[in-house]
Amino acid sequence: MYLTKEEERILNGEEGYVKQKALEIIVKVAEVLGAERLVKVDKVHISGISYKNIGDAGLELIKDLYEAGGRFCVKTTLNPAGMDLEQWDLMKLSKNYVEKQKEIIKYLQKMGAEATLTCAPYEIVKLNYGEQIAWAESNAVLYANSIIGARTNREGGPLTIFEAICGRAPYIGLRIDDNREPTVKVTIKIKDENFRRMLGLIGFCLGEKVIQGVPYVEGLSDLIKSLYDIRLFLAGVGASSSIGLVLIQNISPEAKFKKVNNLERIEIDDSELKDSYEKISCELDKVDAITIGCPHLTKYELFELSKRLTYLSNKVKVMLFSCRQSLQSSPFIFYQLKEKGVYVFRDTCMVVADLKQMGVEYIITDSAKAAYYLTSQGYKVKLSSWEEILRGVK
Amino acid sequence: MIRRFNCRVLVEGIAEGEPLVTYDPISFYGGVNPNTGIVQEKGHPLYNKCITGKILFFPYGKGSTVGSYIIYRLKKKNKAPLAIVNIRSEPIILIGCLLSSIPLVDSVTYDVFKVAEKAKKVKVIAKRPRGIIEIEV
Repeated sequence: MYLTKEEERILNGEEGYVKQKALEIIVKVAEVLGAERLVKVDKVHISGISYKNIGDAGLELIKDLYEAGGRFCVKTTLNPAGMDLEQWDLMKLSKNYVEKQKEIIKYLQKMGAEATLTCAPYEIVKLNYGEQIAWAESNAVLYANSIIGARTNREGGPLTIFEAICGRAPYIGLRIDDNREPTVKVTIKIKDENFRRMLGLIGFCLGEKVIQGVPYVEGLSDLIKSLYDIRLFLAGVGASSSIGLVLIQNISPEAKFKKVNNLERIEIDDSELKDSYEKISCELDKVDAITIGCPHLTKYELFELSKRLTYLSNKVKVMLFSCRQSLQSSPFIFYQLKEKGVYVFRDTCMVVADLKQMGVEYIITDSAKAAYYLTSQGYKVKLSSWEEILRGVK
Repeated sequence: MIRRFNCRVLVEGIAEGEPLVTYDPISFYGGVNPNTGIVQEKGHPLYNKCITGKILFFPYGKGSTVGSYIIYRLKKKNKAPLAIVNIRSEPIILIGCLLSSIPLVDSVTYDVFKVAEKAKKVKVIAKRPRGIIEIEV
C-alpha cells in the first residue's frame, strides 16, 4: 500500500502510541478492503455510542483509548445516545445505565468529540461538494453522498473512532469517482395516494429491491414535498440495504452528469410497496405512543409540529425526537410543545432508547426505518404518513 | 500426520488448540455472550457452544459493527478464542482481533474447514509474509 511520509511517521510511533495503533488499524482495514492508499478526512461522525448497544465492552474500549492518550485530530460529531442527557428521569432508566451512558459521552468528549448526539449531523456540520469525510450512521452517509455530493462510505462505528484519531480513511468504494456511477435505474410508479406520501416506505422498498450498488431514481422528485421527505426516504433506503449513495433525478447534484441509458431497469409500484409495508407495519388494537423524528427533526419541522399539534387530551403519548442544537436556537418551540403535553427528547432516538421502560409497546410512526428496527425489537408498529398522523392526533 | 495449509496473515501471532468449526457466519454482537464466550444466537450451529480457548473457524463476520467491541471484551475477560480462521475477514472481525491481539488469518478454502472439523489439534502460525495452519489428522 502507498503511504505518505506523514503516515509513515505516524506508523513509526512519532506521534504517539495510540495514533500509531489507530493508523495500523486503518491500514489493515484498507488492505482487507483492497484499497491502494488512504485519504485525509477532516470530518468524522461516530455511531454506536449508546450504552444500550455497546454496553460495558464499548465503554471499556473508549475509556482505555482515552487513558492511553487517544485524542481526535479532526472535527468529530456523535450519533444519538441511549437517553436524553437531562430528561432521563422521564425515560425510567436505572442509575447504572445513566452513569455508564454519561461516562461513554464524557470520554468521547475528553478525546475531542462534540456531543452533538444526533443522527442528522448534516444539520450541524457544513459539508462541501466532493469533500472526503468519514461518517457512520447510514441515513447521514446517504444524505452526505446523495444530497450534498460529499464522499464517504458507510463506515462502521468502531472504525470511525480510529479514523477520528488519525484523520485518515481507506480510499475505496464511494470515495472514488468510478464507483459513484449508477448501477441500476429505478422508476417509481405509485398511484395510491397514501403510499405517495410515505417516502420512508418508498426508500425502504427501493433498498429491499436494489440491496447494493448505486441506484439512479426517476419519478421520485414529484413526490418529495420537503427536505424531511428526502430524509425519510434515505433513512428507509439505509435500513433495508447496504446502499450508500442514491442518485435522485432533479435532486442529487451528481445525477445530471450520469449516463443511464444502458442500465438494468427496475420499477417500483403499488404492489411492491404493499409487500414492504406488510413487513414493517401492522394494524393496532390500541396505541401507546406516536413517535416522530427518525431521522431527528430539524427546528423547521419542530416549528411546523408546534403549530399543528393541539393540546393533547387523550392517553396516547406524542414523542418527538430531535437534537440539542436544533432546539437551542429556538427554545420557545421546546416549551410550547411541552406545554401542550408533547414529549420532546433530545440526544437520543426512538430506536436506541428503551421505550418499553416508559410503558410503550404499541406505536405509530412516520419513519420506515424506525418501523423496521422497532418491529425487530418486538414492538407493535403501524407506519403512517406524517399528514395522516397529524390528522389523527387530538 | 500433520497437514499444512497456507493462509493470509491479518493479525500476527501463534496459537495452538482444539478447533471449533462452523460454516455459518458469526455475529459477535447479540450472537455471542461477551461475559462467557457462549454462542447465544438461536438456530446457529454453534448455539450453546463456548468459543473460549478454541481455534475458531467461521467464514466471515456478520451483523452490527459493535461486534468489534464484543471481541475486545471477550479478550479482557479471558473468554476469547485463541485464534480465528476465516474464509474472508471483514472489518468487524479484523478490528476486534487487532484491538485484542488475537491471531487472525483468512483466504483459506472450505476444504481446510473440513479437515479441521475432524481434527483434535490445530496450530495457527500467523507470521508474515505467509501464514500456515497445521492440522493434526
